Parts: sequence; C-alpha cells; structure tokens
Amino acid sequence: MRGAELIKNLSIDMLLNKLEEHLYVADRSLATALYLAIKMKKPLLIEGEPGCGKTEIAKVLAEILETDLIRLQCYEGLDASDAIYEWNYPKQLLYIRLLESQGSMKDVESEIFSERFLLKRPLLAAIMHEGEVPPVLLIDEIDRADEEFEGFLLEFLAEFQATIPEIGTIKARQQPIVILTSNRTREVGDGLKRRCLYYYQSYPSRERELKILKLKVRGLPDNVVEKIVDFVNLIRQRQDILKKPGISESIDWATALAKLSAKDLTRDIVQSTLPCIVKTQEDLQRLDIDSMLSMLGGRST
Amino acid sequence: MNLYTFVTDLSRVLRKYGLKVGISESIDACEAISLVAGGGVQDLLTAIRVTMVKDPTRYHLIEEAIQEVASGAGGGGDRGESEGQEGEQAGSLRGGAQRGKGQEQERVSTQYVMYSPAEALHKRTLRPLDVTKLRTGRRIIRRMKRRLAVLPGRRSKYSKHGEIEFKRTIRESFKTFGEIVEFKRTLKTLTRARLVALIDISGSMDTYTDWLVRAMYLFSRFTRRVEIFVFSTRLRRVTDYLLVSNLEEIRRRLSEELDLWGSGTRIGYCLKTFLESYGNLVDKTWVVIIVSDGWDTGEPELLRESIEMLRQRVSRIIWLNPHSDKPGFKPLTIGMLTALPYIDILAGTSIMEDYHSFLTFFGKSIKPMKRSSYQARYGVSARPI
Repeated sequence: MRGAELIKNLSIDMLLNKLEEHLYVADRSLATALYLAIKMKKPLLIEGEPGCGKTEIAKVLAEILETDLIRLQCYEGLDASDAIYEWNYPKQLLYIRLLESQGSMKDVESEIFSERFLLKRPLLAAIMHEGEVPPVLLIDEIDRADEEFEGFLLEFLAEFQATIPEIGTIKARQQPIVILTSNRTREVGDGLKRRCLYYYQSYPSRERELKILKLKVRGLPDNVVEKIVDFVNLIRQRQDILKKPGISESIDWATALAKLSAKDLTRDIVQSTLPCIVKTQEDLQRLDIDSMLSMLGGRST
Repeated sequence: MNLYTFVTDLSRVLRKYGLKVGISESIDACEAISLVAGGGVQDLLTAIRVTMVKDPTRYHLIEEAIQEVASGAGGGGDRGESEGQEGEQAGSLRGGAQRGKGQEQERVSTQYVMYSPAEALHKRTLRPLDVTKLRTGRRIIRRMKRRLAVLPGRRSKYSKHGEIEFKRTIRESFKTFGEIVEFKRTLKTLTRARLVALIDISGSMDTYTDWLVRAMYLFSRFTRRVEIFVFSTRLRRVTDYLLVSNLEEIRRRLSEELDLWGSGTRIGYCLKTFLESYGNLVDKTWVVIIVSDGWDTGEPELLRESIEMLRQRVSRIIWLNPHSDKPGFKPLTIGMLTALPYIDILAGTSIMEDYHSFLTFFGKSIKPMKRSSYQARYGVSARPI
C-alpha cells in the first residue's frame, strides 16, 4: 500500500503492525498517539528519557509512509535563519562576477534573489516538499533550543508558512507530519505544548524490551537476552546512577555481546563490555558487578 | 452523556486538579476521542492523555477525573471561583428547590463523601510584594549571579590561554613593523549560571512568608534559565507563576493556585521527586539554592541520598536558612545536619535583604568565586558529621 493510500485508510492496529514490520516495537498507546497526530494533522511532542526511541519513531514513520524525513537538530543558539533559509552568498558573488565579465548586469537583482540561490533549511524544505505524501519533519531535542526559537516555532507550526522578503510568502502545499522530541532538560513552554499532542515515552516494560532486543540483535541465546534486560533494569532502578541506560544502550550492549559470541553473562564479559551501557566513570565505580550478577542468578532460579 | 458534555466536564475536573486544560485542548480531545471510538478503554485513555494531560507526573489523575465525571459530580465540581462567591446562596436556593423532591441528601453525599486525589492542602492570602525591598534584592541578585557564574558569557578578556585574537595581534604587530612577535589571546569571562531554587513553604517557615515570596520573585529574575520549585510535603514547579511582569498577578497566582503553604516538610522525599522528575534538567552548569530551616519530618537517610545525588549533578549547592542570621546559631536540625557535608554555602536570609550583609558574605569582588574558597571562608565542614 502506498503512503497516501496508507494515510487515508490508517487505523491504530495497522500502524502497530507496520511499526513492527519496520523493527520498531511500540506500545499501543504510542501507536494511538501517532495515529491521532496523523489524522488530526497536529504536531506530536514526544518527551522522555534519553535513548528510548523518540528520534527513531520519526525515522520509522517516514519509512512506513515512504516519504522523506526532514530533520532539524536543535541546539543552543539555533535561530530562524539556520532553520528556514539562507542565501547562497558565494554562489551569488560568483554569478555577479560572471555577469560583470559578460557585461550584462541587467535584472541582476531579481536573478540573484531567486530560488536558484536559496539554500533551503529544514523548515523551508518541509513546506516546499513536493510529493504525494507529506514529509515527516523531525524537530529533534527542542529543549536544547532557546526560548526565542520556541516562540518562532509557535508561529510556524500554526501557519506552516515562511516569508522570504525577496520572494514572498511560501505556504505549505500539504502540511508535513511534525514530530518534536524533548529530553526534558528544560520544560517546554505551555504555548508549544498547547499546539501539540503530547506523548511521554518512558522505559519499556521487560517484555517489550525483550521483544525489541530479539528483533534488533540476532545470534544471541534467549537466556543471555533475558539477563541483559534484567541487568539493565537493575541499573535503571538504582537511585545513585547518574546516566541511566536507555533502550539504545541495551541494543548496543546486546550487539557487542553478539559480536563476542557470548554464551552467558559472566563477570569478565560484563566487566569488559559494561561501558556500552554505563557511560560515566562515577557510575562505573559505583556498580558492583558481582553482586548484581548474583542478584540476577537468584532471580532466574 | 454525549461526547461534548463528557469532555467539558472532564476538562473542568482536570482544571480543578490544577492542570492547564484550555478550550483548544478540549476541542482536540473531542476530535481525538471520536477518532478512536470503538477502540477500547485503553485507546480512549491515550486520546485523553495525548490531548489534555501534557504532564506525565499527573497521568494518575485521569482515571480519578473520569470517575468523578461519571459519578455526576464533575459537572458542578468546578463551577470555579467565578461562581464561588455566590456559591452558598445559590446552594441554599438549589437546596430549597430540591428539598421538596427529597434529593438534598443525595446531592450532599456526592459532594462530600467522595474520594478526591487532590490532598487537603492549604492556600494562603499573601500580602503584596514590598517594592523597596525588591529593589535592593535585584541589586543583590545581579551581583550574586556574577559571583556564582560558571558559564562563559559574551564578553572576553585578554589572557595567556584561549583563542587567538587577530585584531589585537595585528595591531600589536605594528610596533614591530608588521612582524608578528606573539599571538594575543582572549578567553570568555564567566558571567552566567543557571539556577534551580527549591523553596520550603511548610509550616515551620510561616514567619518568613513575605520574604519567601520575594525570594521566589528575585530568584526567577536571576538569569534566563531559571527553575523555581516550592516544597512542603510535595514538590511543585512554580516557575510559570513567576514569569509575568505584574507583581499583583504573581501574588494572586501564588495565593490562589498554590496549595502547599503551611503543611509538613519532607525534604528528602521532595528532593528525590525533583531528581526523578526533573533530574535531566540540571548538570554542572546549574547552581542550586535551597531555602529551608531544615526541620524535616521525613527520613534523614533519604535526604542524605538525594542531596548526595544532587551534589554530583550540579556545580554548587547553596542553603539559605532563615535561622542562620541569629547569633549563636548552630545547624542542629536533622535536615541541616544531614545536608551540611554536601553544601557549599550555608547563609542566612539576610544576604538577600541587606547589601552589606551580602558583601560580607560574598566579598566585594565581582569575579566568579572558586568552589574551594567557599568552604575555607565559611567553615562549612566537608566531612560528614
């Protein structure tokens, strides 16, 4: 089924199946939120712990709908010109030099301020997208951007248009599917939240994480996968750990163990691969691998 | 009950629980619920969560709210403050009309016996903010920002290290007839910090209420990235209440919408909640100011664990204790004793009121203070007591 047709006949169950076909194991609630965002044509703000698949969902959605993923990575100091458009100054200068040498400087202004010399940044690219299916616009880590940029986004997300003084106002032919993500390093403003649907992505349940690992990492015995999930969950429960491992860390760890052809979680193997999931020196010192492994052993029996 | 009545009643109840549910949320909820119709309870709950409850820490309220709406109390549950003034009169009129029908008792029972997840907490009518004291406070807070700075600002100064400054290098080279002898370098000066203020508004801090409100206001003007929380038995983020320019509006919001005034204190529990819910917020570029007298009814061990965690995450912890200004003060409350090894500065509230008191504490310099200098200067023990 093509993307446009898929959007038309979309249902929550269909979306769940499609997500799983593309190796993304989602909760029904996440599928519902995505379904509502597509049907209601509203941006979806996904908040949650780092490494829980927030960015991945946008990528997978673009794959499912067979459309382009346009990504805007936010950072401190990001401003509207980085996000919408810029003029290609070197190209404009070269063109002027060329015209000078040819001696035909007529209409130079209208030519150098035309679409040819426009560098489309993600937001403009999203609204100028030409295709049957709307693109997926991922505005990643919005919490890292300044509040001014968030204020600017309010207008953009309401109108889906951009104004370039030399060319005019460009309005989106079809509204992109917008997904915003945030790691909650700061609270996103109420205005933005009001304009978006909201979904909170927390750590997955044990069963779901098992399913994810089995789908994503091949060649690991089931008992090792189970132990990986339990071990990671034990770390997540600890209050004194600064950076708790997300699903992406579990996948990394499982991949590492698969590459090492591990048959069991032994002390040596855990010791050498622990940096895949624990990423600060303090946390590494705090973890007592022996006692954690013995807890796992006790649990499995 | 049709969809529109259900959503309107639900949004009223949710507003009563302190959630920001506006008209646009209600419209979205109507559309979302009709889209997932026939999909089961779980889908309905997700639709409500996605459109109306945009705060994961409040998800537990949804089912309670739905029950309240279903029990029929939701419709009248929050006729709101606007009807509050005439509430009693209207109530007696309604009562009078219904008494004949024998329905009075039923009406009362739905209103008073029902369980509500919103705890019985206290609101308080606050006095207007003292503008003269705020003026001094602003001056102090500006200076405090410079002293606590941990982040580079816009300005730079010449230094042996840092980036090469071409303008100055070229200018200096004129002295040697255009020959560049040495590179001049600049470093950005530290002028910024981010602030989290955790302010205790429990019963034991009652005497200082006016000061606490002023402190909340002043801290919210510390720098651009500020988060203000208040706590007693629970933790509540109040940054949004304070980010308006009108002082009267701030006073009104803190009086009418904040209901944690004057209850008990669970510092450890509240710090733990902060770390769990807002832990991603803070890192080494943040300064934490805790305002509390240290009277804690919770477990000291929980406080110790939480503050130790906080210590690792943030650059500085400053504890303002209102009793610390009194002569002969010793930090002997359980909270203070537990937290003392982990805090950088223990000061009295007078540093926010009196400029000279601030200067004696923070020194006259405007350069950023080094962390080690706090402990040496103010004798806060670095070892657990």
